[in-house]
Amino acid sequence: MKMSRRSPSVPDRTFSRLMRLGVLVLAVGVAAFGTIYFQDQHVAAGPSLVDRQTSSAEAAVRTAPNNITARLELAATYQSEKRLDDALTQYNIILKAAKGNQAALLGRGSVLTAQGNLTAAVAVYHTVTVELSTGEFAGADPQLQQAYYSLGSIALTQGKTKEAITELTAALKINAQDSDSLYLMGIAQLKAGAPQVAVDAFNQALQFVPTGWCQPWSQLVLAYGKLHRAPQAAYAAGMADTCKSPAKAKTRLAALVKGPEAVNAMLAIALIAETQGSNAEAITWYRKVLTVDRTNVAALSSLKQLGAGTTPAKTSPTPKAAGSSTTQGPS
Amino acid sequence: MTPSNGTTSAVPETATPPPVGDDSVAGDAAPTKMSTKRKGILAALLVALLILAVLFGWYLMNRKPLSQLPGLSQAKAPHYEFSIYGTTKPLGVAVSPSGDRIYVTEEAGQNLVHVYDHTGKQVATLKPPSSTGPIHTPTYVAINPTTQDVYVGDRSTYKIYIYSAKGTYLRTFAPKGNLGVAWEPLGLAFGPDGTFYVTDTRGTTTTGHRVLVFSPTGTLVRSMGAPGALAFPNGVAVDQHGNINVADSNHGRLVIFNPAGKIIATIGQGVGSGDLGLPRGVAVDGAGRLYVVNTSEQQVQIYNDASSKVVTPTYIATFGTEGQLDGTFEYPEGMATDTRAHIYIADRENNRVQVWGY
Repeated sequence: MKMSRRSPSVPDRTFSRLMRLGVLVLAVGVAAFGTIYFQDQHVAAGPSLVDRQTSSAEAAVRTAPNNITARLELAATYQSEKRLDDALTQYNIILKAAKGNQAALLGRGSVLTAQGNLTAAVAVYHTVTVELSTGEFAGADPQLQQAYYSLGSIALTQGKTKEAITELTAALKINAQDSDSLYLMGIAQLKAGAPQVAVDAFNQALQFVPTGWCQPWSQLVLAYGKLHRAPQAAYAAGMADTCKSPAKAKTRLAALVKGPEAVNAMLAIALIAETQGSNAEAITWYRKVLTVDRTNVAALSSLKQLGAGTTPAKTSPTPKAAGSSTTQGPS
Repeated sequence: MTPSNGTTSAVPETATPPPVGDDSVAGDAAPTKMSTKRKGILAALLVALLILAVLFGWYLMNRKPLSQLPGLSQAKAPHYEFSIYGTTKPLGVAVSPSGDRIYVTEEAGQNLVHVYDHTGKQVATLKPPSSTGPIHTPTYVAINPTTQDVYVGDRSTYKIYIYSAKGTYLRTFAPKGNLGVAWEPLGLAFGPDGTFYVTDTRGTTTTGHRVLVFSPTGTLVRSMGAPGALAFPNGVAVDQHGNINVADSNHGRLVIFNPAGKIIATIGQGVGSGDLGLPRGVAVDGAGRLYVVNTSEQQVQIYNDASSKVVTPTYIATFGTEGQLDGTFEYPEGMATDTRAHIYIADRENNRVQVWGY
């Protein structure tokens, strides 16, 4: 006897239909939600500020191709965008029209340096120094100072230490407070075998940029090392660590609170604590500084700013205890 | 003979039924298993549909990014979305609750209030009539939540001009009550009931700087800040508890007043996380996050005061650094939030308003 193929039961068919319908609704729903969500949430960002500035500078040059200021601006914009070839082209066009334009020369030197063409860059910077060093305002000319600094920097890169010191000395003669020149001078003196001069230069540089700049501290470690001044080197190492690992820096500095660098170390720990938002800990350390140095301006002003009293910590060491303080770090 | 279509299954249709005992096992159990599996799939499908429907419904009601779904952590920093260009030295920014209208004051250029849609397309400008004087410097701007009127402070005239939501100049705000001395309104904010808060920087820091509170009808209710307590109070914002958050700009701190005008907390000046330098714009969003523009650090700091019994806000995160790239600031000033988890910051020296979101 022949049997017909067994067909799905009615509930099975209903399930199948329901599932197909459900999947369809889900798919359409997800697609619809995704579309609505994207359209509602997404706003095209448009060109960035830098792109707008570039377009604007390009338009200005197109409008007035002979306007040197417009071309300088365009060159600087390209340079900031790391479009070095385009920047160089613009500087070359300017220098073709105005051979002695100092801003263009400095810009060209900067681009050539960035491209690694140091010989050409040196030639450009020498052009600037020759031109400006006899000028009426040579003693205060920031462009001349920049040229000397750049020459010093390149000489240092090329290993010409003596030449670097000469150029950086000239730069510092114009602006003795230029922390970048001071820093490079420190490196050059260190290479030239004059660690004490290097220490002075690094410390001067740090006076102008006291926080957030750790390279001079790292160099000071080397310089103090050559001078066999271990406590100072240890303190500098602690300070160098503040940029990389404040916790490590605190550990290093805490080891110095009984030595000759006690005050500096405690101030540094307090500053780190303050930076980390631990004001109570910072106050404790500032007060410990006052146990060693009652008139310490940094500690007094910081305590005032933190709204804390200036009573020294109770664990007061003997007055001459800077080097033998019994001050302990917070547990 | 069994008919064949040529591709008939290798298993021939049975001519003879299997033994009764076998059929009872295979024939009953298989449909049951199949049915259970199908029911499971159908249930999963229904759950998925339900989740989608809930998500859809939540989104249509709130229009917030999915990252703002209830239950997810709100203690995080937003990301940069886009910038609105076209103003010169923008100072103040206000936004309608839905984010459809963004009002930006500029203190240079044409000294106008620019009105943008939510995509950053300019749709109008606001300027007081010539009868109000020839020179105007719009500073901060706020929207009255009960009328949608737009209030614009003016540094040149020491007035507050009021425009309708459609941009029509309506009138100059005329405070009722005795202000004591002439005033110099700067920061503006509204409470949900239309109570109007104005920071006043007239006079000396030891006598004149204060926050004035006006009823919805414009009557002076109270002056907050004892003599010397505030130094150039700048931005002001009202949080969910009705507390008034004021950027005590030149003291480098944020001061929080309770509705009665008593200082209940401060965020101080310092170099630690969450400490302030030069606070300017202040805003609070629907999730209870408090935003403070820390102008000197070129960044915005976020605190959480959401429904906590602890009055002092907890620092959450910071966003922004100095620069000209997207997401970086050059002396940011005023700020605002909408109900869709967007943050608008007047990036003054970059001549733009940045929009951040979650």
